[in-house]
Amino acid sequence: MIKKSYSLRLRLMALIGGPIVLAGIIVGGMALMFTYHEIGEVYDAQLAQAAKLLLQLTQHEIMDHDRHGISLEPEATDFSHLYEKKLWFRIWQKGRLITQSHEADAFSNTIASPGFSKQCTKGFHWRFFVYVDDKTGITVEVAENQEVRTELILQILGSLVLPGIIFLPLILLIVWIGTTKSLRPIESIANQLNLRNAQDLSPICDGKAPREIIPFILSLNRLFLRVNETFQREREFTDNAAHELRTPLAAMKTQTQVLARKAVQIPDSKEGLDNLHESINRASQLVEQLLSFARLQSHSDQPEQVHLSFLVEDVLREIHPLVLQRSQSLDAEVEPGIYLQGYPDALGILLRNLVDNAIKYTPEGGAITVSLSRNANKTILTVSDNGSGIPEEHLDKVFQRFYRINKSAGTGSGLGLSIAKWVTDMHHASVTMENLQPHGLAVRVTFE
Amino acid sequence: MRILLVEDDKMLGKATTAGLKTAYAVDWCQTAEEAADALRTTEYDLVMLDINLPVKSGLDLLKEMRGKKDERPVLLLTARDAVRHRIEGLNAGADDYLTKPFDLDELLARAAALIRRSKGQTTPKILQGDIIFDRAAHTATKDGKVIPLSARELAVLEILINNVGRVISKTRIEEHIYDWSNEEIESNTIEVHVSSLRRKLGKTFIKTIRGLGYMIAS
Repeated sequence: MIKKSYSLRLRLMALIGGPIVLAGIIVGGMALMFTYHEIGEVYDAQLAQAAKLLLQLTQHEIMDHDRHGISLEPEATDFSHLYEKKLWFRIWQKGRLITQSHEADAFSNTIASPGFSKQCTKGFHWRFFVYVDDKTGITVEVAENQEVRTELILQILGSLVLPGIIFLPLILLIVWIGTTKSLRPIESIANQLNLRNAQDLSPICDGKAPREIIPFILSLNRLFLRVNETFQREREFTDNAAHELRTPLAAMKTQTQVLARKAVQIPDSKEGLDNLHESINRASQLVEQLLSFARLQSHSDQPEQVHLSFLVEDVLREIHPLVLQRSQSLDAEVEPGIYLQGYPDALGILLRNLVDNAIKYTPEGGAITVSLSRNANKTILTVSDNGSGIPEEHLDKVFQRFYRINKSAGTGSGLGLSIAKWVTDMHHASVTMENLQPHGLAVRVTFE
Repeated sequence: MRILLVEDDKMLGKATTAGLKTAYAVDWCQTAEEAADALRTTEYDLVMLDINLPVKSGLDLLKEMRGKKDERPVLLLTARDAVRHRIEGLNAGADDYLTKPFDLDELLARAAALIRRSKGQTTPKILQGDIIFDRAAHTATKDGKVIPLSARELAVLEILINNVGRVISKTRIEEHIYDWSNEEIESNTIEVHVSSLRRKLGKTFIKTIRGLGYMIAS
């Protein structure tokens, strides 16, 4: 009993995909943190350096032109960089603005406190560095738009996340294909088993099975072998038992008849012997059927070309005396020259069983018709009678082993039709039964 | 009349011997080897041969007999499920077969028919119902009057009367007529002869078993 089932494929995908996503998030997060910190450091250092450089470049000029003030030439825009405009500066001396970059007008007259700080002007965040040179009293103020940093961080982050977003579905797809491919041997074994008929207990062979599945195949094959051996023993037992019973029963039958002949003058003995004879007949029939069944189940011959028309006529002529005993009539409508691949003994048993049944279940004086015909690649063998037929509710069940419609009636072993079913299965033929109007039964075997 | 019964099973052998002894002298042996010896030294009118014998099979013995031109009639006793054996046996030259377990009456009837057929030449007169068939004289007599029959009608009557109680296929009858007359047989020849025989011998004398052939009921 399978209580709970889960998909190996989904489980593998979760097991592989989950950690990948988690690792991606952790790696991305850490990278973001470190990048943020390091970029801050680098940009701050650059800001400080720029301030000192400005001081170096400008301090002599400021000191020389103390009285006159200086002005800077407008910058040549041709060689400017995109990020340039985001670095502004102002130079002060003793509270007086000496010079500034063009765009620095935006800042008010307040000077940021010395060192690094953050300011907010006109909706932009600025990083400020203010350097105060105590010797000359010059204050260099440098500001950089924070946007520059954010942009860089975002770009670095994007370069990390984008491949992850592209590759994750790709990895999951590869896992999906990979598991599907890896599970294929299991599916192929399942298919092999599904296509088998009930009697096929031969080992599964799969030359390309992966190492992990081989123990599973071997266990199955060992199970098949054990089951097969058990079946084999059971069949051999039935075969032996039936065969051993067959001859003594034949002897009893003959002996009883010899005695009955001698006892013609003694009516009581005669009647007893006749009853005994009838019982022996029934036992013989059962033994014959058990034997047929055992032999059919263990047959190992190769199918051969069978002249079915000839076989049907031959079996019917052999059975004919039984028909006469019950004053019944037997008509055959056998199309000549029908051949098929099959097992002649089994086919003989099949027809015999069907006709025996018809004889048994049709009242004295009844009519039995056997027909064999072929059309459109189908060979159809029909045994019909004008007896009482079978109640509809039993029609499906009569092919089961030991199934008897009227258990108290005492005739028949319940094996005949299951033997017939077995033979038709052997020949990949189908067998159907239908009641006829006004009364009677037709059993139809269709060979494809 | 002496019958050789070859049957390896003791019980069945004993019972069958007892049954046959009501009508015939019977020798019973259990192996094909013993049977071969018996056949060499004794005149038998019929051999009843079981197919499944230890060491050498009944079929081998039959083939040996026919190989040596020993044409004594052989009735094969076969298992019911061995259609193959039966056909093989008939091809090997058996005259008839009976499946086990057999009915004693049936066995005796078959034995009588086989012996009668093989003795056809020396005891030509066969009585069936109110018809006397004289094979040597090629006549059939009813109520003391000879019924005029053609050669082919006689051939049909002969094969049916030799196999009373058995259904004989059209093919076998055709082959038999051909043995007699060597003439071309048309497709409805048998039907024509059978109906003319019925007119002359009585309507129910020959039964038609539709699809299987004809028979004279015992």
